[in-house]
Amino acid sequence: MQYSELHSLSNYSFLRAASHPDELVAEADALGYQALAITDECSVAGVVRAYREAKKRAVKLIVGSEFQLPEIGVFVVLCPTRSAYTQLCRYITKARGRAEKGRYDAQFLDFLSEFDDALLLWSPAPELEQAVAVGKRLKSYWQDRMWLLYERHYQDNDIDQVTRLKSLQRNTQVPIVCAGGVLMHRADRQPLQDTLTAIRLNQPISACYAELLTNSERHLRSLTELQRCYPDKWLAETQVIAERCHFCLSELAYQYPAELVPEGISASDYLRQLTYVGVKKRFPNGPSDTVKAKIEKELALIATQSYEYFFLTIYDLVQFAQQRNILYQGRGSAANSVVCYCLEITAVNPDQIDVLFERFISEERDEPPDIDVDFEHERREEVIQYIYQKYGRQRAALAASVITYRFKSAFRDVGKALGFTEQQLQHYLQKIDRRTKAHSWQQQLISDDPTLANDLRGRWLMQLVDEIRGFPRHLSQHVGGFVIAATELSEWVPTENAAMAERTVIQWDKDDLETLGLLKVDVLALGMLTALRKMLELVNQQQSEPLTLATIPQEDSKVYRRLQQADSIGIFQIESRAQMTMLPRLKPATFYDLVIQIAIVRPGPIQGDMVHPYLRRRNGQEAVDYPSDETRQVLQRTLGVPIFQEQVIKLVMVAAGFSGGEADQLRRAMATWRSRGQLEKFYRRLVEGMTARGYSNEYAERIYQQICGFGEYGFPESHSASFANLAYASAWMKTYYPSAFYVGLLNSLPMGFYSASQLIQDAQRHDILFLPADINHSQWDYQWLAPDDAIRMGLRQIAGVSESRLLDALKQRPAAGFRSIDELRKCGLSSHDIDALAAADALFSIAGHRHQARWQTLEQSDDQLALFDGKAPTSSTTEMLMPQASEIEDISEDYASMALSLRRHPLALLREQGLLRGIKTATELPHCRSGQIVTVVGLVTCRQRPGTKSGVTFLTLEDETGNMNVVIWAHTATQFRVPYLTSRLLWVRGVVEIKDNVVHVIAGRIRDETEALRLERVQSRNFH
Amino acid sequence: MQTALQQLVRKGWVWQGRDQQQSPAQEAHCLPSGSARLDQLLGGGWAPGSLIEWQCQTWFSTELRLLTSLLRAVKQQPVFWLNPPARPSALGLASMALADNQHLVIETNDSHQAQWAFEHILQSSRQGLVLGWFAESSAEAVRRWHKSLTQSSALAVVLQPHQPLVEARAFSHRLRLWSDDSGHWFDIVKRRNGWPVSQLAL
Amino acid sequence: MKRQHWLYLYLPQLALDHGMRVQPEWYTQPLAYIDESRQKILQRNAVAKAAGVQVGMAVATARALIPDITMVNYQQQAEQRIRTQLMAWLYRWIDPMYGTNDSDILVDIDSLFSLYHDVPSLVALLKKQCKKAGINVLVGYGYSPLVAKLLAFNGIELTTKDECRAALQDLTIAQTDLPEAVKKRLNGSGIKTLAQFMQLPGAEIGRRFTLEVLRYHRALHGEEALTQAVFQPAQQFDEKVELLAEVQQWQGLLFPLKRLLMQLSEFLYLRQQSSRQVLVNVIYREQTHPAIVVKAARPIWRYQDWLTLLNLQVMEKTLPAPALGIRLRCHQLEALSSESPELVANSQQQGDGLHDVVGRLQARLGDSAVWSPAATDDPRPEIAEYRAQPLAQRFAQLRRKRPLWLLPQAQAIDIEQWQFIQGPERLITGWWDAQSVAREYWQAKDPQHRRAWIYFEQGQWFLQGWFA
Repeated sequence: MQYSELHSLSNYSFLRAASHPDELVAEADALGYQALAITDECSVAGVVRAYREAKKRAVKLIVGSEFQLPEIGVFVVLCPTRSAYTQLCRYITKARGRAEKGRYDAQFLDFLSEFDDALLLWSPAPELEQAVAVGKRLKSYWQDRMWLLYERHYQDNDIDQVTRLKSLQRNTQVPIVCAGGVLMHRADRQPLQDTLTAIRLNQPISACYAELLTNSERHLRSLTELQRCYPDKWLAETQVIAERCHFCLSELAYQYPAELVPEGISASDYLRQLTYVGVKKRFPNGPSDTVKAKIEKELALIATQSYEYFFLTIYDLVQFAQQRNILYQGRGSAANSVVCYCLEITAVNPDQIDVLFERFISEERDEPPDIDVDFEHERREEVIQYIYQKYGRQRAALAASVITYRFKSAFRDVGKALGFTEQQLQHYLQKIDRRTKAHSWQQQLISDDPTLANDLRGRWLMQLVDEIRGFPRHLSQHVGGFVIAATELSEWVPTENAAMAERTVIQWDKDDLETLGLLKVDVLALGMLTALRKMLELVNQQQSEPLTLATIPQEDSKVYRRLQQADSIGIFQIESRAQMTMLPRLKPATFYDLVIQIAIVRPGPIQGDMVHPYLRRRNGQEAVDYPSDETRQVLQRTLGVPIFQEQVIKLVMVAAGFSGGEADQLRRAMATWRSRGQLEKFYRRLVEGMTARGYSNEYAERIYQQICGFGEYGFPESHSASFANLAYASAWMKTYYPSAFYVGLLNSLPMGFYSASQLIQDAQRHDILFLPADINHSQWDYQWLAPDDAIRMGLRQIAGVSESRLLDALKQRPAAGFRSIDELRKCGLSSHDIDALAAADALFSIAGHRHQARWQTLEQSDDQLALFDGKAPTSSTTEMLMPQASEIEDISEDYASMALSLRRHPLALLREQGLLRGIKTATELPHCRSGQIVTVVGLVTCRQRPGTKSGVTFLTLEDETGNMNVVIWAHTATQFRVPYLTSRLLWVRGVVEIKDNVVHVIAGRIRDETEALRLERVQSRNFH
Repeated sequence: MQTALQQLVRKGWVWQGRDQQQSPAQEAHCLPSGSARLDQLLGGGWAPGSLIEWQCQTWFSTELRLLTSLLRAVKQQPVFWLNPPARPSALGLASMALADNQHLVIETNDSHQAQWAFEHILQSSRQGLVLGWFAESSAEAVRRWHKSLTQSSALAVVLQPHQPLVEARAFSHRLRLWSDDSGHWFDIVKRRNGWPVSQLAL
Repeated sequence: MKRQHWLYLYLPQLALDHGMRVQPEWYTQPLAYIDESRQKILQRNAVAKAAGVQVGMAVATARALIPDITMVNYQQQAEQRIRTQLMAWLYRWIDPMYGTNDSDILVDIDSLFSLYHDVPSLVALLKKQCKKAGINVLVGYGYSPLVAKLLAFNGIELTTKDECRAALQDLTIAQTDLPEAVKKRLNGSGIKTLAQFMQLPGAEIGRRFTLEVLRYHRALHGEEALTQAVFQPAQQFDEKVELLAEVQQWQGLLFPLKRLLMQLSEFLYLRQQSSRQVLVNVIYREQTHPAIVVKAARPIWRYQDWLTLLNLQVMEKTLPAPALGIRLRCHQLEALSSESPELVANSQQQGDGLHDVVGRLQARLGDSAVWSPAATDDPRPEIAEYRAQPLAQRFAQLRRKRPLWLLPQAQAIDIEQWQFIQGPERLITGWWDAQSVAREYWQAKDPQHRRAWIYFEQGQWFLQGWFA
């Protein structure tokens, strides 16, 4: 008996079906089905994942979609041919386009025209009276491409349904076929399916009994079960239909946008031509033989895989950015390609890092390369508009990004469905530390609340949360992943409305596009590029010969000396507290050291504990050894300790005999959580391979542990190299043009790790003079006054001022400056703007000290003047004199309106008033004896709880002399819970620890001193 | 003390001629029994305000035919179930579209309480259907029930197992129901306007 | 003559105090009332305060401090209903009273001097009564309602006009209840104390601030017109109590019910009245159930009498769903007459409704003897069916084919003599509780040709019900 399942939903029908597309395909194949149709609700979002699984299996995949029409019933549309598939995609786009995000509007009349080649299965709605009339109208259009659909799930009314369908068949001559209406691949997914229904209805399970399935029949049933359930004639009909369907997703071969290649030249010749133009630029004195060989090898491989258009599309984008002087940087796997370097897509010189081209393109994988390009975050929109304008909205759209259940969201939703209260769940969540690998979250939960183990609900919670993780919840917009097609997009993938206005998103995500070999371009935003461009503009105003990112002098020792002293605030990627503690220990002296510095302070290397061995070897405390010559060649540059992902891949190829493609599958397995199972498969292969080649079992085991430790965090060397370029450039700027450096950063906020207040204090410690914001001297942006090397604050720093109105007003500012508040009002500033300026003491020059100015601004501020005792309001002749603000009032009002103050630091005042006797300052700490008991006081400006097991917290305290690192162990945090959580000014007594000039205070006791001064706006930035 | 004639009339052995055809008004609001043959014999169906006895061979068999049509006939009115042999199911009532009646189930733990409850309901409930399952019912009890029904237009049905010898009771109609392989049968042991008949197919 | 003597009763955590009074177990557990929209703490009890929870603190921080703290959403009208009850209680001693819109109490004490001859004794009396009712209070005296309010807010308890004027001087702008924006502008212009604000000429304020600020300025100088209506005791008794946590059975409701009945007898005694009937409504989350009618043969007023009658009716009753609160109403009032002993009404009533028939049957046969068939949506028939309060039928939405008769416990049967008619209907569900099922239902005929509903589970056939 042969059977094909023609109606099954994957979990891409969000919160309706309880199995992944690949699980459905695998099970259907195992049961011996001839074919399986994945028919998600008004969507083909799940078919590519099904296709990826089907490629490895015997079962045939049929593409289709299901539509619910309230009074009419359920329409299942199947695609026998490529043209049918196009009609389905067009219709889904239309139905989705007519409704708001996440919904669709399918109407009966649509099914009487738009589907000339598709097949239709119709299951009439129980309450539909004139079924015969509807059937006849459908029959007139669909003719022999239409069936009545019978799905039996052993309900109480099965008999009535059969008799009704048989009479309908007699009256309309439409044949009957049976199907499963499958919502899960195996029966044991029923509890999860019920949970999904409860989540969808936002109710506990106990409140939605009426909507739950009454049994688990909607699973892929065995052939014997099917024979017992349906007459043979209807089972055979499924095979008749399946044989008519021979469309396969592989037919969607990608055609690249033709307009990129000029007439009369082939794509690969045009690419070769452009590459060699680039070679002259990138290698002025001619490329070395190895580089030339690499270029030829790459060009040949690109030609065989016919990826020329891919490079040309990116090249076109990059050219546009260069013309518009938009700073950009290619990164990702592309940074391994010399051709990309020549086409000026990437900035990583192949000589600086040993390029692993297999990581970029490999024959085995036959997937197109994936290139990410960062643009200045303030000008990325221009690039996006260029794409839309060049290719048109029908041919360019954002790829989808599938939002799936993470642990926290899964725990909360499943818990609510099972009837736990919000507070209980919140309480449990706090007790679970997701980072410790020691024992599973279930064990942590049971140790906290043992009753859960034998409570039925508790056991289900622990099972269902793991089952639901990875389930898609909804489609959202990828941040910058564009797909560009030669013809109309909606011919091969439906598009939906994205959250942002008139932006469309396709129903497939990045992985789907990769599976089908379709072109995807990542247009990403990077704040540091905006800052660097502004710095370069400022510098070029001061000197004749223009400086560009590429022409910044490399390997300047003065720049590396600054880094070695951890003076890295504001410098890209290495400014965090953890990086600042690593810099003096690693002491980077070359570009490659910088590449390592960026990659090494990350959870991957920390958890795989590769940091300490590397440092010991770098400082000569440990001999550098390599188990074999091949590994020496791979690990030489990192002294035998694997730090980069590429190294693990090369190591595995060299030491365990993996092929390039297999190694890349290992990389992909490392990156995705759900495939932990696949990682085990590699384990056996790895250990056998290495022991066979004479490596010790213990070494193989260590390498495997390091691979697991890498997991999601393994950082590619190519990424690190691209970032190192920008890190070096910003460090160079800070060394040679500090004022331009700070102004560039301050005018690009919010970005990076530090607030304006911290950047300005760092600048002042590098004795740069700051002039206060003033209506008659300041612009919107911070200005670098080159002659006296000072920085004038920008009015942008004042909270509550409208940029557009202020820019207009500044244009009308007379040469001699404004003289009165009325003048400001005439230039279009609102009373709110003026009030904000007064509060920031920026109107000093025209209205006196801030209290006086504020009192004056109130004057005409309220339009309904109070009719007091009938007298007409006279203009106030006698000028009321308001009291002058004290210094502490000035400082607190500065912080209130600008979140910073150029006046003295609040702690300087406290110290002056003798309140901080016996308290060490930040500058005094390095001179204490390591191990000495000290007390420090400071504003809490940063709380960081990195992924270490011990649950330690790093606090940064700021006083008038600088920043201090305070370490709070978990037990101290719990012992002083209230001050730890709520205080802003913190008093800490503990032990100072100094090791290779890195200073930490280990907190013993802490106390909240916030009452000592009234500061509203000092915000602490919490990074977890 | 009633005259001998009144007793005979009460027993149904003597009836006045003109009662033969129920006046159209009376016939109009009779409750259909569910069998045309029986309606015709009862003079149009069950007359509201009367006390009826169904003797059943076993429960959940022939009597359910009659009960179903009665339940459908008393739409929107209260239905009292006194000591039913099993539990009337809300889901069952809903699936038979009888959900909008007001159903009240009364369970007593002895027959004395049951008879008091039946009488009390008949006294105070003006309309609707009152069903009572009893092992047996004394003449005294039946007479009290009959008296309580005087101003009420409710229909009272007493269901009892088959009684070996049929003694006189103050019921206005008495039926014996049974079924066998060939179908459902009934005897009319007593009816207000005619001679007893026996062995008719339902 | 301008009235110059006011008392302001500031009730900082009225809802919380009352809640704990009604359910005393909350005195020993951390509890807080929160503003749900702004996620801020409004009121917290002593246990929460000791653990560091402050008024105005963010809910998330409070939960970080006390993970298992219970938080209740603050409802303004619920608190104002409690305030009206408190005013009705204080009405014996003082009048006229006004309810302010942020649920405090204002008292015009000009006319009360004849009774209580000076302010301190009046303040002491009010504090004693509030303490008896378990309510925290701060009483402020002032020559205008606003002054009395500001002093009460800041816990300054004075007795003479000059003391008030002096105390006002050293209050800061922050300690007033002026709108935030106005406070910011005043501070921004260097005006930090109330004294500085009061010295400003009215015209200057008029030109710079809104009318309310001007009225506020005048009120500080003693000129203030009252807008609220004076308190009048209610003619009918209608009180509600919200419970802090859901209660599953009647025992949990008896304590709050007793308090409501005591309030009722207070209400009746004050008015020398009594009544024959009260209505008790239990409040559930979704469904609403009809009121429990408690009837007495003769007019009564003592709460003990009402309690015994109520117990008679609810004793071993089960609550159909967890209760969130209780409401007690008493409308038909009669003059208090000499009492007659017999409580329960005799049976000879003429033509009552169904309620009465049911009431009497239950009184004689016991409550559980009379019920109406009802069903929830639970897919498992024997769990869905339940005995509902008489006449409170509730039917499941779904219309599945189900038998008229249901055997509460399914009976094992020997399948040989049975004849299948229709099926199967497969039922596999209930995994979430200990009563999961995996059955196949069939319609079948028994040897006596009766149509039955049978099912097969774990190797055994069972009879579940009969079709009509």
